[in-house]
Amino acid sequence: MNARERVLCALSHKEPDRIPLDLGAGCSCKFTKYFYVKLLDYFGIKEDIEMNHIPYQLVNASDKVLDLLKCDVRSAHLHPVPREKNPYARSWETEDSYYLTNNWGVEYRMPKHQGLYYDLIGGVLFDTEDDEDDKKFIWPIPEKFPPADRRELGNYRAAGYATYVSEQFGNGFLQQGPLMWGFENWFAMLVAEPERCEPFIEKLLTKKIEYYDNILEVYGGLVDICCEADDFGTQRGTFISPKVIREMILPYHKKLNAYLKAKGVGFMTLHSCGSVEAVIPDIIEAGFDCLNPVQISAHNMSPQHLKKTYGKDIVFWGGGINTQFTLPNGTPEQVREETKRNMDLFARDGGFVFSTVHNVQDDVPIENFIAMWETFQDNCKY
Amino acid sequence: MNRMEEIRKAVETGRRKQIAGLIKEALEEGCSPFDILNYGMIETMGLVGEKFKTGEIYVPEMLVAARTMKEGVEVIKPLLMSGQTAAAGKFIIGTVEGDLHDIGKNLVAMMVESSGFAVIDLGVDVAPEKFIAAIRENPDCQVVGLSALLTTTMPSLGKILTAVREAGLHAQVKIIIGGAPITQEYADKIGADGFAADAASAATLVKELAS
Repeated sequence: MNARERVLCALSHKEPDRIPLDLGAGCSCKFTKYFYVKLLDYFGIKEDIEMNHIPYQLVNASDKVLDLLKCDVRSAHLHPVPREKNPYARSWETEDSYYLTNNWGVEYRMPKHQGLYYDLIGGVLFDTEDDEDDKKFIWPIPEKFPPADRRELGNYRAAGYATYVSEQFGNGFLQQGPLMWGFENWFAMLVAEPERCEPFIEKLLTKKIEYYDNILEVYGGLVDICCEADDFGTQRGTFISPKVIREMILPYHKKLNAYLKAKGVGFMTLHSCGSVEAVIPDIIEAGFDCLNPVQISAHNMSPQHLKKTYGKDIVFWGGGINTQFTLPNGTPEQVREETKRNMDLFARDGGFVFSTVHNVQDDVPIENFIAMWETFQDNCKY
Repeated sequence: MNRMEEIRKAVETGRRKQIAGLIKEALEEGCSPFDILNYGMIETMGLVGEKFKTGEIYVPEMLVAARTMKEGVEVIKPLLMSGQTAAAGKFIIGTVEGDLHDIGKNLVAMMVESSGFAVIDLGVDVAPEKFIAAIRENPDCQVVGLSALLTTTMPSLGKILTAVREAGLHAQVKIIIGGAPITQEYADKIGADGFAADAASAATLVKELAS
């Protein structure tokens, strides 16, 4: 059984030869830059680091590292070709911080001293009052991709890996709004002025479709898994009522999922942090096959409960270890114990791809990461 | 639906842009500003707070109701100045030194204001001496709320409490604390007079402590 067969078997809710492993490839299964430097040191590898996402400081892990980790998934390394001179995009620095404004007019800042990420500090729509103001927003044009990049994913497929496109156009239908209007404003608009949100969400859908058309123009027929990212949860529950998520957000995901599957994408993953248990049936109904990152420490998200209640209908892609406490701050022994326990709880009948709960961050000690990886290798056979 | 019911509905559903017009119409039709405030808005916000506490509604629904009420209060405030009613009390609030987060603090301020209190919002990153000065300037203030979101700024809560005690002002005001990492246990440990887990509970707590 090769890596791709293993992943597709698990995604079809059957037990492969061993639990598939995704570290460094899928959406929110990646490494931050300074953790990756530790990993390269550990393996004694020297290489130029290719960044994947600047605000989150994520890298594209190299094939050499992914092979050493025996990972089953490879993601396309996208090289977007801009089709416009975006009116908002710029980056600059001051004495103490780096700044950037992205194509959506969203502003970020990262302190030079001990800054780990770029934090949201503002956006072009933060002070808007009504839909007339909203209309002044200049939408970014989805980028194209170099046709020659098809070879890379083709090689991954030929080598027997599961293939993944882990980038999206903007954030999700719920979470792009907060970046542009601010959290308070957007969530208030969703419940009190839904007529202002709907045209935006509708347009976001058409733009996402255009983006995926551009992706599939290059990679068509080679993509096993795509992922949309849309955080529905805080640690205690959903950001907004399940009813609003159900009625205003998930119908758009459903349309996009149907479109992409008709275009030949094998499986759709939803990345949604926090306690999303209240809407898991709706996520399934919207056509998602996999859920990531499976934040097991959040309210009502225990592996036992999730597997028993939803395990037949959705694949858990993540949930391998708590990245808020155990992986960065636990002892290697605690890491081993939790990794083994979660594997035992999630593995039965397939429907599980092992990964950390979210990206592996700079503060994770290398010995904890290795303790997790060794425990996985020792216990991954069915 | 009569006008007062429309006002209640607008507050409950957060129709911020409608509230001023509805209040003006109600006043023209002879409703008293006192009734509009107490029955139309404060009582409605009380119900909204209860629904939030029981999980029937979420933060956004409470936020839009509070924003709507705030705009409504602006409309009738000038009419209430003539002594037709007095505020239920006075509340000072701020996010502690070193902490720039204000969503939770703003929600608490709005909910307390919505329950009829005059609220003095000192903003974010507020030093102990600023709290002391505000308490001195407002001898009629009964309750002070301190907010901290970060585990790293929690120690500032204790520092402010100590400063209030040392200034001899603790007999005059009750100090309550809140924020994501805060617990009742922590409040007891540092000697705060109260803790609330969310904005609706904070409004109830302020009312209890002020009465």
